Amino acid sequence: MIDGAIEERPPTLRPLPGFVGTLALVLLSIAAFMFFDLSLAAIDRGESAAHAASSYDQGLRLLRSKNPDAALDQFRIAVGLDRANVGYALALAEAMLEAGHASDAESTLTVLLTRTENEGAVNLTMAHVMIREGRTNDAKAYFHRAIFGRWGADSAQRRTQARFELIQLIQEHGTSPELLAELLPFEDVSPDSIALRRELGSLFLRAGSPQRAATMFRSVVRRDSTDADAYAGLGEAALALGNFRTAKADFAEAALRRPDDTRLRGRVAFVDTVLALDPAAAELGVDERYARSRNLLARAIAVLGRCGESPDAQLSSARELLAHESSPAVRRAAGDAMVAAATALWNAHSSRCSAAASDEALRVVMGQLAG
Amino acid sequence: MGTSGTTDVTNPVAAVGPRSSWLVRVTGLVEDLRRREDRLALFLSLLIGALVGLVVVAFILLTGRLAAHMYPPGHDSSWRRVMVPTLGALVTGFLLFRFFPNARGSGIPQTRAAIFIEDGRITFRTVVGKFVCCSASLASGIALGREGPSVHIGAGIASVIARRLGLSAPQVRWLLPVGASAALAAAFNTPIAAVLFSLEEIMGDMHAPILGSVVLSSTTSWMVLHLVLGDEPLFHVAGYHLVDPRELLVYAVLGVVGGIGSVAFVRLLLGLRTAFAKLPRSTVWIQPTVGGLCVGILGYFVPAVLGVGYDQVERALGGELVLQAVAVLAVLKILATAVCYASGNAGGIFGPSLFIGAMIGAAVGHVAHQLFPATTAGAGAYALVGMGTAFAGIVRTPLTSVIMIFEVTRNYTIIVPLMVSNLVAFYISQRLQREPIYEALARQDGLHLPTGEFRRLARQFRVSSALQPAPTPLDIGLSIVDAQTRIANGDFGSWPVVDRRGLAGMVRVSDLAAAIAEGRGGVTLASLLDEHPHDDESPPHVHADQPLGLALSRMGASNHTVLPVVSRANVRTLLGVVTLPDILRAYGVEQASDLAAFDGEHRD
Repeated sequence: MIDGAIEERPPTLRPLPGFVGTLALVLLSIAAFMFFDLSLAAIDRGESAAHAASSYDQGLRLLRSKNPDAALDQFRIAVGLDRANVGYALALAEAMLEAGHASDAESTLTVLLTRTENEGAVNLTMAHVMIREGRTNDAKAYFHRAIFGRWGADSAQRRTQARFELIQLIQEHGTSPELLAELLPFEDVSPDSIALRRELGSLFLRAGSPQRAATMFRSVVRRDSTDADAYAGLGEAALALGNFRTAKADFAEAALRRPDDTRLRGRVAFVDTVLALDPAAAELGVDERYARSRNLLARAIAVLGRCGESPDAQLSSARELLAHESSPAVRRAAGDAMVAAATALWNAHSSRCSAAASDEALRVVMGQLAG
Repeated sequence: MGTSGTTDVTNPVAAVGPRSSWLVRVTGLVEDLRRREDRLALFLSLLIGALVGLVVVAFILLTGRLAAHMYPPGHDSSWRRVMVPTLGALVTGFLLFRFFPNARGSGIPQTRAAIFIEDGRITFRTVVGKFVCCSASLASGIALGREGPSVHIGAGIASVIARRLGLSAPQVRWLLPVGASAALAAAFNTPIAAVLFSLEEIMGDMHAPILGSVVLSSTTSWMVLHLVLGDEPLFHVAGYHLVDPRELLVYAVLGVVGGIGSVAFVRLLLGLRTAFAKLPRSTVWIQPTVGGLCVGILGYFVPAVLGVGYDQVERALGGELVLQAVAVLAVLKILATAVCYASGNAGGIFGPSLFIGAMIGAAVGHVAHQLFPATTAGAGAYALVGMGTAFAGIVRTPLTSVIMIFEVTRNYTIIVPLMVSNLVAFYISQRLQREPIYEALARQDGLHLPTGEFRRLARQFRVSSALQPAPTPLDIGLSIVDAQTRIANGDFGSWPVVDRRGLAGMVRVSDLAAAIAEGRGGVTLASLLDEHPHDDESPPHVHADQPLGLALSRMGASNHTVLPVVSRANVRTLLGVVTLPDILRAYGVEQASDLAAFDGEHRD
């Protein structure tokens, strides 16, 4: 035929009318079958879609009633009947995750992502799978893809939700700079979002940015001067910034607005302890300053001694300083030397000594002096 | 009509008017189509591809709708699973017996029989019977496949069209694989595998000259399928890959298990078929009911055995089925398919082969993953490879099976393990079961189709097997007398003549003698060759890789008993000669005298 396989001339080719008639019949059959197939396929697709939707709804009900295994079967039916529906496949993956089949969920989502790589919801679910599998770095990557991915309705809200989930993950498995990087986009969040700003203030504190935290809390206080939590947040930010007196005032304001809160009263007392310990406080007399410096060095030596740190030259010289009572004439210089010795000692050993963290007031003051 | 009112008799278009001129043009085109075989073939390949694609899609959709009515969602009862296949087999068994006796079974051996024995004749009644009976039977839950019947339907449509157009028998024969590949492309959504299957299994020749037509029809049919049903692969598979190079050993083990499983299935099917064939002729109409009842009883306990079972294959590919489930399904499907087919139901073994392979693969995968979790993929990957393995073992078309799995799943990453496993299964199956299943089925029906062994033997009889060194050629400038002196002691009836460019021709010893007798002994061989010019520029010759039959035919045409064997790179380079006695010896006839003796013995 095409390739010249048949070389002989057809001997019995039908006369032209019969030949044309046969071709016309074939063309007519093609048209008829096309109509028949398209109609049948349309009916089939309609029924399949309805069946898939019903299975999906049933699956959702089962999932809500905490029966993920039964939901799985329903979602599988829905996906089998309507493979183009991303929602069904996503629900299947979520049910798999719920039922504890994280690797199956991963396989399902991997296939799904080949055609919906920018879909925010799919990437977010994949991030959940990664968390379940303990792959936090992959989870962070999928969170980012979800945050910058495509969302349908409520896209801003869904993105914020995804970012907060990422922030939650970073708090558990990340570093302060990572956390700060995720928080920065929220700096210019709407002033109306009081709860969000309060939450962001706390998170900025955890991310090591007390200045931004203070800004957030301050904006809350401006809108609601009765908000004890915001005052407490301002206190914590001031404490982190080394403004101990401001911190005391803020904690006192908070305690005033919530007098029954023992935690707030505890924070006021704590700031008092810090203030009493701080040798760098303004308006201190020479003797008082000397006494505080001496106290500070003694506490530092005691804390580091509890760690079982092997005695070294630094520790010996610090003990030496403490052993001699200085005369009033040299107390200013002696106090400075003691503060310097305490700071050096703290910087050298506190990172290896967990007990150092236990003396919170000391840690705050030393942090301030070192900074 | 001319504008002047007179008829322009020299322009027929103008003579018959605008409307008639259109008709004339169309008639001219159709007439041209009829006269140009290449165009007709192209046109028919497109038409057959489109029509077969649509018919097969209708077959698939109709079967699905019938199944939905026979097993309505939410009305699943155990008794229905027994009754429906039994009644379905009873009804279709009667229809097959009474109206469509040629529509039984798979359809692939029948298609091959039509090509090689029946001048490409498949009746319209058979096409209708295959469509109706298979659709009803598969919808009722009979554990057979739709691909083999689709191939028969496609080939049948091609046959009906070709015969209605009045094409010659060879043309009709060549169009059958065109219809078959279109059908398989639509039934399985595998256009490349359909082409390969048509050549590898239906024609038994990967170099068949119908390749172009087969590709065209397969592509057209596939496009029609996509137009109607959309772009979805038959199975959806996760991105499996080779976890560790050592895993190839596990895939080789899968090849062994799959090969043994394939042989078990083929032997059981052939054995049961022999047993059914021994039953009284009067029971033929009710025999399919035995298959229906058997699969119904199995379906009562394990519903997944019913029907083609591609949904279960999909689950196995997704690794959703546990070890016990896949092991049970593999065994039960082998049993159910063998009984259904052997009892004479309409349906194929193409799909069930994939089902059995997927289950065997998943079983091996589960065991391997339990033993070596770090170095092996999940059971789904093995189910995928297992499909190809069983197909290679049962149908014995290893190349088709590799391409088919790739097309069915659109997953390329698993190809190497697939090839390893396929080859192992193919080898084991060949060792344990000499005859491939479709050849064995045809033989059971009394049809002796050209087998793979036949084709291998045919390939053995090449010119190279009878080639001998060429005698010292004669120079074209020699006189006829000198030439005869030179060859006086030679045994050849014809002698090669060369000029400075190489072989110039062959000269018969008898022609030299005749020229001398005519007193022309002094003229050169060149003038003698000029008296017997060749049809084309080159003298009669053969190449070493050509069949001996062609050498015989050329000897007959050129009246030489010796032919030069020449290089394909340069037909003037003489590689040797082939003589008539050499050819006879190659065929096993030692001497011409032996022929006489043989003739004498048998005349008595």
